[in-house]
Amino acid sequence: MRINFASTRLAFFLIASLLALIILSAVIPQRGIAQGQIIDWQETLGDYYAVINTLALDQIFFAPYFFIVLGLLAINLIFCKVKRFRSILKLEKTLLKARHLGSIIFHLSLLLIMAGVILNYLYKFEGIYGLTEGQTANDIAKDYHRQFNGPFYSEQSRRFAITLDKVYTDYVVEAKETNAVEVTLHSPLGDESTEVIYLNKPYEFNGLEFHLGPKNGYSPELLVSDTSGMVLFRSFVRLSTQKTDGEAKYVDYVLIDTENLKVGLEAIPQGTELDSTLLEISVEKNELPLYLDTLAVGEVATVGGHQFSVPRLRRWSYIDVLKSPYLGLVFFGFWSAIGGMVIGFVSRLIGERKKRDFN
Amino acid sequence: MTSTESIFFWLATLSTALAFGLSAWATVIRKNAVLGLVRIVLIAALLFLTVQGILRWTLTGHPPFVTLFESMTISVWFVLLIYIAIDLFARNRIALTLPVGLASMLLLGWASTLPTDPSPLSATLDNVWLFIHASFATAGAAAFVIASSFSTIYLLGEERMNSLSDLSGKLPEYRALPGTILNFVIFGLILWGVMIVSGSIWAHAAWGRYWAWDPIELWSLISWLLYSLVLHTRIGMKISTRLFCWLTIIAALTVMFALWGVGYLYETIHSYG
Repeated sequence: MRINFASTRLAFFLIASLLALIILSAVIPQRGIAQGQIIDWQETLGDYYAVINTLALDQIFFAPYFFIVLGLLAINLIFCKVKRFRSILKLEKTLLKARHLGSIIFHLSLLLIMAGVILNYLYKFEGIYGLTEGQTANDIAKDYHRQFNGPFYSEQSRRFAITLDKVYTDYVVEAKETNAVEVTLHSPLGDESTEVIYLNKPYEFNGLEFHLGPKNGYSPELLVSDTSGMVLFRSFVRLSTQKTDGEAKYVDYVLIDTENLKVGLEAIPQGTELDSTLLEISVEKNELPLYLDTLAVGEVATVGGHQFSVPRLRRWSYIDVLKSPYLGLVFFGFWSAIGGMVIGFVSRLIGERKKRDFN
Repeated sequence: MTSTESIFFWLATLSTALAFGLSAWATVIRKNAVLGLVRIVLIAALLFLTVQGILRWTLTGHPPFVTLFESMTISVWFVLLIYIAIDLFARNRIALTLPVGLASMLLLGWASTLPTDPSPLSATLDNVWLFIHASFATAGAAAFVIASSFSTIYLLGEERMNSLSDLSGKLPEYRALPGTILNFVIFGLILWGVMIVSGSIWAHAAWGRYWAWDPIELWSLISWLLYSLVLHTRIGMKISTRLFCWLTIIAALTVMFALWGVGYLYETIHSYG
């Protein structure tokens, strides 16, 4: 059987397949996008969820069949447009030429977008830092909360260190309060640059973009020592923000294995001032509740031969680091696709008007 | 919503209801003069909505794109604006009053059930791309609603439309309707495309990612692909006009779902204020 790659029917079939896959992805929760719903689905479907898993229906955008459809669509586009380009060369009417040219520009732009997306994926870098105020992190894997390197990404193109100077929850931009972070970036040559980053205002440094991350919160420094004063644990603990019924809670816990201790922490804000925030500390030893009380910053609680305190309370924030070298190609493709559509549409309208006037 | 703004909103809503009622009556009794009156009522509705929008803009200090109520009223404003433009420049005009009146009445009626309090502009929304993104979203939706309105007229049947035309000679050229629907589909695709593109540029600036497969992004893409499919089947595969009309109506439903329905079913970063 000979497949006609320049056929409109094939284009229809491929667009319909793409559409069906995207609709499926809107119905079935996707990994990395709706993680919470996936757990609900797994509980509801039980063993049947294995079918979804096997067919990769919960990660459609990374499934081989999704890429096959996109690849075939690209081939179909190329064949269709080569055929169309040959035919428009023979056309005499300028308007008709313009209409077809608009269509060609539009479809080639789709190829450009696909190429841009693929190249970007291969060469991109995405990293997320979770930093407490005053903390400095290096550009190394262990310092990132999460990171993704494209398969062809070269690490040589970046080297820096970053310090989170301050987290603002009430930074004023054009008379409106917003979340913001002040960071200092250090280059290998010793240059330093301090900048405030907030939503809609990323910062560029050495070809990398630094964006305000999606979350921030409280970071108390937990100090646990024994009665002799020997420090058993001392570190800032980034409390995660959990929202229940629209109310935010800032909670987390620490396990101190050597002592079989589990120390729970919850920040209870008392107004906007960080210093007035109270900390609820719960202690379990060998999984038995030992202590639960509220402390102010600097107060010490002595429980079962241990001392617990929070000497300092700071804020923390996520900071996203990005390198998207081919993003310009994607955006150029977007706009040229729109341009192609406009050219095609306007020439179609003019053509119709002329035809009507002629009749 | 202030009492003055509320008055203009309800005047607009009642005008669209009156327009629909009169159009339906005119279609039954076949009086073209009534349809002329409907046109004036719809123009009045546009003026009422314009005043309501200006009052809200003055009150909040930002264009009325932020809440779901604002998104819906601005979409109806675009629908009426496009209708007036067609009324001024095109031939297929008066018969549009029936579906335009119906769609506007339903959307404004739906909007009236929503919270109407204005919302402050959050830091994420405070960006020039909001205005481009939201204007093109609502204008695109309006173009698709108009296309499906023409489709509805076509599906009502040539006989019914011609019997109206006999009265005045001013009613639509029935056979030109499919071409007009196609033009509105392409026009809507362009506007919807600009909406997606401007949204992705804005998302990159705000969150550092130009596409995140968020439910509203997904459904916007689904609508766009569905209209592309409709376009290909019509131009490339020459499907029947009736099927084409039904498809444009179905596709318009996905647009409405993308704009106003997704928030009811999914958690999305596009939540209205």
